[in-house]
Amino acid sequence: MENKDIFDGLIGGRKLSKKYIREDISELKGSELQSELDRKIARLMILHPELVRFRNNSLSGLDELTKKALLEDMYDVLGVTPLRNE
Amino acid sequence: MKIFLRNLFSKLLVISQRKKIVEILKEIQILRSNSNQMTDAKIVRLTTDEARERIDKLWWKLPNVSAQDMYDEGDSHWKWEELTKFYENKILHECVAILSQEDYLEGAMIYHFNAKSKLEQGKGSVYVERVASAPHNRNWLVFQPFYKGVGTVLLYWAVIESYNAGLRGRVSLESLPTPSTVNFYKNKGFVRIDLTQPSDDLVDYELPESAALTWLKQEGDLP
Repeated sequence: MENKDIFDGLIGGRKLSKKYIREDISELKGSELQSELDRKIARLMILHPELVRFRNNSLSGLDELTKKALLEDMYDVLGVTPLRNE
Repeated sequence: MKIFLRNLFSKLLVISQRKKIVEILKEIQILRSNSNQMTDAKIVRLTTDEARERIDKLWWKLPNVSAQDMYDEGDSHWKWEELTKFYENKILHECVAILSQEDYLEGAMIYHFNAKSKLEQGKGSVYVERVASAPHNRNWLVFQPFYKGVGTVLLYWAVIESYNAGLRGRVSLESLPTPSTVNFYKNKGFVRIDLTQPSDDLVDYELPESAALTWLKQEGDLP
C-alpha cells in the first residue's frame, strides 16, 4: 500500500528561473563566518536587510553570548519561535 | 607487513580526515527498511569531496540494475561534486546530505534561500533545486531498500531551514507530477502553482506558510 508520507524519489534538476530570484539581496562578500551561529545570523541579515544594521554588518567583534542574544532578538522580531531541539 | 601497515595507516588517516570535515547540522532519525525501526542519522553539510567520494563514485554501483534502469531514473548523470562546488561557502545556498550509522550518504539536497515565493507576492521562499534519495533506497530499483522516506526527511529539513530563515516555512520546487509524487505533495499541502503547465514536464509546486506550520506542528517541532 502506498504511504503518502513517504517520499523516496528525486526532484528537480532545474536551476531557479531568474525571474524568481530576489534582486534585493546578494551574498556576503569578504566575511569570515566562524560558526553555524554566525551563518544563521548572517543569513538573516541578508534575507531581512531591514532587520538590523551595524558597522560593515561584521560579526567579528561580537562574543558568543552577544551573538546568541542577537539571534534571539532577530527571531523575536521575525516571529520565529525557536524549534524544538534547536 | 610494512606495506600493509602503511596502507592501513593511510586509510585510517583518510577516514579521520573525512570525519573531521563532516559538518553536522542536525541529529535526526530515519526509518530502516528491513526492521521498520527508526535509527539515528545526521543531516550534514555536503562538501565537494564528500559528494565526489560518497555519491558520484558510490551511488550507482548497484548490482542487478541495468544501464537502462539507471538512465530512466533521470539523475544517474548528475555530478554532485560539480553541483556542490558551485555553492560551497555561500550563505544563500546549501548542499546537505543524510549520513547514516553505516557511514553512507542516504540522500542529498541542494536548496536556495534567495527565491521569491510564487504564491505570495513580495515574500521569500526556499527553493529546492535538487533532492535525491540514494539509489539503494529506491524500492523500485532494489529488492530491499536500506532506508525509507529519506526524501521526506530532506524536504522537511528544507521546511525547517525556511522557517529558521524567517521565510515562514515556504518551500518551492519543480517536479514531475507522477501519481506518487502528486499524492505526497497533496498530503503535505504543496500547491501546484500553474495548472496550465504540461504534466509531462517539471511543474511548479509550493508549500505555503499554513501547510508548513502544520507540518512543523505535526512533527512536534512547533507547539
